[in-house]
Amino acid sequence: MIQKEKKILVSRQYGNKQISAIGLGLCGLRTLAGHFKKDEAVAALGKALESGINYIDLGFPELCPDKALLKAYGALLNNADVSICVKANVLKLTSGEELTVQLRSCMEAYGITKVTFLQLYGVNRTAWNRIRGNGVLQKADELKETGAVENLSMHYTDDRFYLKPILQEGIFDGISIELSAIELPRNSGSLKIAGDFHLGTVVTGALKNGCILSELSLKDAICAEFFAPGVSSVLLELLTAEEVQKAVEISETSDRGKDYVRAQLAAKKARDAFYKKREIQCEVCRCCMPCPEGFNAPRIAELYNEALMFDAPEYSALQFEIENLAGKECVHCGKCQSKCPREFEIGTIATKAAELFRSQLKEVNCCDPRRV
Amino acid sequence: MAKKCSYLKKYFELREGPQGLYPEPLLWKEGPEMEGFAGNFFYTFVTKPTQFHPVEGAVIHPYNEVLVFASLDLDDILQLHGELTIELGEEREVYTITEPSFVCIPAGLQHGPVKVNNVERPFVHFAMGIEGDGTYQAECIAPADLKDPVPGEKYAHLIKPLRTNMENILNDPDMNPEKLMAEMEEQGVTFGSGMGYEALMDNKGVLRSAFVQMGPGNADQMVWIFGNDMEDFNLNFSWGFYNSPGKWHRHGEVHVHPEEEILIFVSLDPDKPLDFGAEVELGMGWDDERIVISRTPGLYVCPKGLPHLPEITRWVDRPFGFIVCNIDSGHASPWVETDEDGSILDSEREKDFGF
Repeated sequence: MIQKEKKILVSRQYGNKQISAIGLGLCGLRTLAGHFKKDEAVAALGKALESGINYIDLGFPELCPDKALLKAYGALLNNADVSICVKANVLKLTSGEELTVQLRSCMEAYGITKVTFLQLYGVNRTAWNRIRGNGVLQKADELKETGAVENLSMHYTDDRFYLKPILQEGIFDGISIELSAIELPRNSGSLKIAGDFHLGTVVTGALKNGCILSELSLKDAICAEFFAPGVSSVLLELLTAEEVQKAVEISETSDRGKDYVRAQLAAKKARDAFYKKREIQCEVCRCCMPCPEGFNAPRIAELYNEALMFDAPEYSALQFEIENLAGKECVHCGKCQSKCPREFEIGTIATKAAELFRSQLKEVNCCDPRRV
Repeated sequence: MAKKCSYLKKYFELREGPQGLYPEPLLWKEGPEMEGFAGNFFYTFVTKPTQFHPVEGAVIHPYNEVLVFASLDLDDILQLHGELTIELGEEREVYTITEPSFVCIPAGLQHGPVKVNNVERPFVHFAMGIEGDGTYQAECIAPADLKDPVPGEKYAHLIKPLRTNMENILNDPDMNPEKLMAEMEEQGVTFGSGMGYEALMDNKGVLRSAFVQMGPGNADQMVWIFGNDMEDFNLNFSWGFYNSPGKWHRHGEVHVHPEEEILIFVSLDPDKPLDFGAEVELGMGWDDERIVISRTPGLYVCPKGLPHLPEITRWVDRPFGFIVCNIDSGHASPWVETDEDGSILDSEREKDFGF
């Protein structure tokens, strides 16, 4: 039997693992929105494994419209030497027991038996305070202590200044942040903060579900993050073998000296073009908060801006659902608008956005409980 | 116990710049040295004919940059007392500068070197690179690959006088002099001149804040440049001379911005670059911690949305320079509601931590 020689992609440290500098995301927003063909998606995973991609993020299987796809993925993963990351959505969890249930559900959905990284998804300044008190953090720590998971990471979604006190607790082995051409100036600082604690960072959203490619080449979109200091892996949701092939080729042939400056220049032009489509230039400073009703207007407005920038409201709607933003309503007290330094009608915009997202979710129908 | 916000204070060192950018050691910091600030900052004195940015050849950055040539004339901030040229574009168009000016360098524009031909008396050069990943990055063009320099007009619009555009002050809801003076009048502050907005700013574009009692510690002379003066860059910055102890803003206590900024304190004495000759304190965070910078040039990193102020000069031996570098085209700075003792009301505070 001839054994295929496995390619080794550039690898970088993350937790206690050396992971490939390109990672594969499964069950991301493109999948949840139904933009995939099952055979092609499974072939993409096969191609990724064959190419040496060894960091696989399992996404949001509870929202996946095709459960058979998950089983097909799992069959491949169980025969591969890879690091598997399972998400625990802290924006929805209310107890340590729920965390355990979510972990088990994910493993069962895929049919996998090991978890390399348990990622606490959606950590921000308010979620962090909540999970410290409701047992989620404690349970996550226990799962690591008992060896049920090898590493604990978090997907961080807030301003970098709130990251340091979290990392000072010494619980996490790595972090993940959203970093595309859009977030490059805003979120690059989190790479530095993580680096201060000798933690690697997996970056997500580089392609914005493919939408960024209307203004930016695939190579520049990847290189702008691939070479950013402190990045361990660029996580991509790739749904065909061809997409995987292209991403791997870019990672293998790109050169920091030649490509990083050029990629950032292209990223800036793309960012400027996208920003013109936003309804408000809100930088999510959160001066408008706290809301007496708990309505997360700045985050909803940010998702609305993304929907406009990329002309893809379904992705923002899915994110709205994932982040559990639908549960609160604006009562139009005007407090947020009176505190906004730029005097945006942020409550009004967020209310409009929330209505849009709710109607979009009905169309996407990924939240049909019969699918869970 | 260390204060929570102490780490937001950074001191400068005199050190070599990025390779080939400046011929002598200078004060500078990149974003990662400023807690991930999305920009970099350079500051140096110009005391003799020289060439820099870069020393030879030209550079291209993947982010917007502003090069400032500022006065050290404490009697007239609008006098440079020197002459320099700067080359812009692949075409190497040469422009001559003889008054305090700033040059907007959009991302991707080849520029440099700056050649200082004449220095009657020392002046200052500082540079701010913004909206990248904060690190200094440049594609370097070797001298051999440059075209011959030519005079030109194509990039003339990028070179602007370093003086305040009055319209920006009048149109800014938080800086409008009429609003400010109305607030001060409510507090019983009187004005010597009795004029309108000219009391705050003269007709040459110089803000004279301390003169009209905005705050006794505020600037003797200051200029403030906004994004719409800078090709719509997401930046506003100031340059000013400060020589009085006291609170800088007597009509308010604490404010916030929607974008982050760095507040930079520098020496105006080329013979004492590492001693700005004063001590200042800044209120930082929800708990009004007072963080002090003393003598050694330094800066405060102010995260977006984090309340800060009051700014108070505790003592001053000689005039010092102060620069605001705020990553926003405007300078929205609404006051945060406080009680009569200046403490931020709990209702204003999102239940966060760390600050």
